[in-house]
Amino acid sequence: MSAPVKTPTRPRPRVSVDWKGTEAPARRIPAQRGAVTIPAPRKGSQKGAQKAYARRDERVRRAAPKRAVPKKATQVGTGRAQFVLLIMGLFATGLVLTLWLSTAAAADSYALQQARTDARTLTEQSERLHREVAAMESTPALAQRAADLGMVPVQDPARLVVAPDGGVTVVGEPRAAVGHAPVPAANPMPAPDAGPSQTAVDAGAAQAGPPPAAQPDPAQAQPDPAAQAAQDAQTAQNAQNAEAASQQAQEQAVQNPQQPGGA
Amino acid sequence: MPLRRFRIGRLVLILLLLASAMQLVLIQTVRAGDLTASAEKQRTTRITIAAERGAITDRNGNRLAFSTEARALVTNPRLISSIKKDQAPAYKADMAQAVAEATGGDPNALRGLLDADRGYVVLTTSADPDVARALRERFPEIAEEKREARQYPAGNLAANVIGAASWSADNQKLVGRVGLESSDDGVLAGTDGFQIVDTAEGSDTVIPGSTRAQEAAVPGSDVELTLDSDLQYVVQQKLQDYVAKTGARGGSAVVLDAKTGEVRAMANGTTFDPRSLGTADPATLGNAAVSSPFEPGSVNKIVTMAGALEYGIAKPDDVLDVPGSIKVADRTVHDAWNHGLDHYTLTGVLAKSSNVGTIMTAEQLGADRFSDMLARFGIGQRTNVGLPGESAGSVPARESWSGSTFGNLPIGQGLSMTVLQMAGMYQAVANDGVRIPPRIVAATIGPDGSRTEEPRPDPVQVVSPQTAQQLRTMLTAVTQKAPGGNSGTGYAAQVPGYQVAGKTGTAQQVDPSCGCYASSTYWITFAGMLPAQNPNFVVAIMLDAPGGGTSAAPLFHDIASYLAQQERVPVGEPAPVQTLVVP
Repeated sequence: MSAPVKTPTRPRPRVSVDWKGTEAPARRIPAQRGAVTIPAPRKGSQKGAQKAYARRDERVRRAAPKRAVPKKATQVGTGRAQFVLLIMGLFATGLVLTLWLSTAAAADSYALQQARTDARTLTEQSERLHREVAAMESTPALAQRAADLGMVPVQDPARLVVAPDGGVTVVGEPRAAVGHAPVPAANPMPAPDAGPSQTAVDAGAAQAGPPPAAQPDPAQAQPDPAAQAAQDAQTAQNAQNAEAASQQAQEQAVQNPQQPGGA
Repeated sequence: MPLRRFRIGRLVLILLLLASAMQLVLIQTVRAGDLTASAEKQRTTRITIAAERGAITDRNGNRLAFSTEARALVTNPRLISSIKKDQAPAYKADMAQAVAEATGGDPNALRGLLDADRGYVVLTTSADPDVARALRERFPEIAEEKREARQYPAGNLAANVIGAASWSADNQKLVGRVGLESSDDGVLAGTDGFQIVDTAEGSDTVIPGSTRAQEAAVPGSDVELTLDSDLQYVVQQKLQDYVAKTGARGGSAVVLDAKTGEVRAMANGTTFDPRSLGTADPATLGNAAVSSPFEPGSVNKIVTMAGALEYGIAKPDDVLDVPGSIKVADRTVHDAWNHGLDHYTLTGVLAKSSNVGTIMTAEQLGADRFSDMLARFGIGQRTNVGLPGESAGSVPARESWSGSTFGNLPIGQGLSMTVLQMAGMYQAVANDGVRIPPRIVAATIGPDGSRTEEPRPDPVQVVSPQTAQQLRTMLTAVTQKAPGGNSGTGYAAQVPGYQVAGKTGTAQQVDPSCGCYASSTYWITFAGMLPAQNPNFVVAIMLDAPGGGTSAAPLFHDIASYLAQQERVPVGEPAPVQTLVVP
């Protein structure tokens, strides 16, 4: 069963090979060949005719490949080379492009990663700063820092009301603000040596204030100049950063208001 | 022989092919649903995108509460012990020290947590993301949990109004626990988004491009309050100092904008720090200014006076012959001081706070008109200020009044109101008789920045502008200090340079043991406005059972003096002295 199956299949590839490459005339050639080769033993009697057929066959055999094969080979050769070159070119370009793109993508992904990290860090920083600002500018924090600076809220300030004619009326009773917070040194920077001489004069002036205050009568008039002098002393110290003098004058500033109060 | 083997082989192949075809059909059709579902279950993850909670700001945009991103740091001490073996104690000490330094925690407490034989301990709940990351890199045993932390930069400032929100492990988000944070949770919380993605099995790594569905989170809206931080701070400080000074059990104070009824400040004698809600005393979490009604005492006398002036029953300078006591039904009402038959002007009755004179006037006014006037002043009704747990106070129903009821109500006993309602009454007088129910939420600001003003409540015309004006003049007599018995009861409330209109009040508290009025515990009240003739602010104060002889007028003075400075209220003429007593 296997043998008959194989026989018809064998010529077919041969036929189809010729068939593919050649035009219509080439299709006839194998048919003639088949007709010539297979029935040959049957027509053995006519030798002349046989020879003629053989010659023609030979001619055809020589002529046909001469005309078809070289023509085909050159055409296919150049076309295929171009095609292969084109494909190779494409492959090469594609390869380079892919390499370049993947390198660029990898490089960009690092840049992206870095940018993301930066953005995250900055967001976190901004959030923390916002939080700190909110905490620092909240009312209780401001009040605390004002108190730390020795500031006290004023209760019932006296007001000056200016009349249309320019006259001024004092409304309310002017009083010093009372604070319970101790007043720290306004400027705690270390003092240069040249400082004390000027402040000593002012402090001396402040010191000169109290003795008259001990007398009952001028005591009422005294507090203002005395406090003023002390204040001057303090301003001067602030300017010159005289730490020692600051302490001295501060003591006086504390003492001075007490004396009129006692009197 | 080979032919047979070939046939068998072919048969086997065909059978195999059929079997696989059948299996294919089974998988592709019959079991397709199940398999798809379990596959998705294995890799599909729903990731919730948390919505940021909105902020709460004051009227000037100062943020009183807002959210930040934070990390909770957790670890497994048992695992550390098993991994580190002998080095575990030293390693844990090192970890406790590092976490304490980075987050400001207590190293000993952290050490205690780490030494416990537990599988899960929370080291801190509010580490900054970068701090958490650094710690996690140093100690790989520490894990981060994403959280939202609530910041209260001003601490206890307006804490009783704002309340507090804290992290809910169940909902994986911040949840309001008390105050506005709780009642406005729906506005503040926003809506969480989600993302359905595929993740690598057993990890949270998202497979790129596997997002199936995504919905962005909608952040919560911001809530803008009518409070003024600075004023709130001052009122809160002064009230708390005064409560401590007078030994009161508690107290409340409210400052209203006289023209709009907006709440500018609302303080209570006790407060809490919302940053440490867990350790706060539950008794301090409420907002007594809206939730705790009390008997107002003499501040309620303006109801009678408003009625008398409005219905033309009396004029401010009409003279009344006031005896030392008056009998109403079965009980006798005395004045707070002993006197025989005196001659007080109507202004004098109010300024000296004569119970007898007030009841005489109320009787002329009549119970029905008095009851109607109480309702118009908003007593017994919720103000709907926008805060949780608001009380309406209580006024006995008109039908249930007994004979003696009408001897109590005009002098502010037998009915109750909150400090906010009391402020609302005086706001009506300050605003030419038009009462605007107070509001504390000014607007909500959506995540897109769109501002939605809260609807303004409908104003209520309580009395005519003339009556209100006359009442204000009468109320300035309360704060006048004049010779010849012409001083009012609240001259300590005076602010130099300004006319102050106000009314003192003292009401006996009910003794729970006998159900009667106690003779030693009082509610001390003061309600007033500044400046008297064109008021900008209304201040109402209540002190709960302070020491004997305490008045709330000095506290009013302190708050009003601050208001005058801070708000640059123009100085006015001194109030003319009014005649209270006629010889």
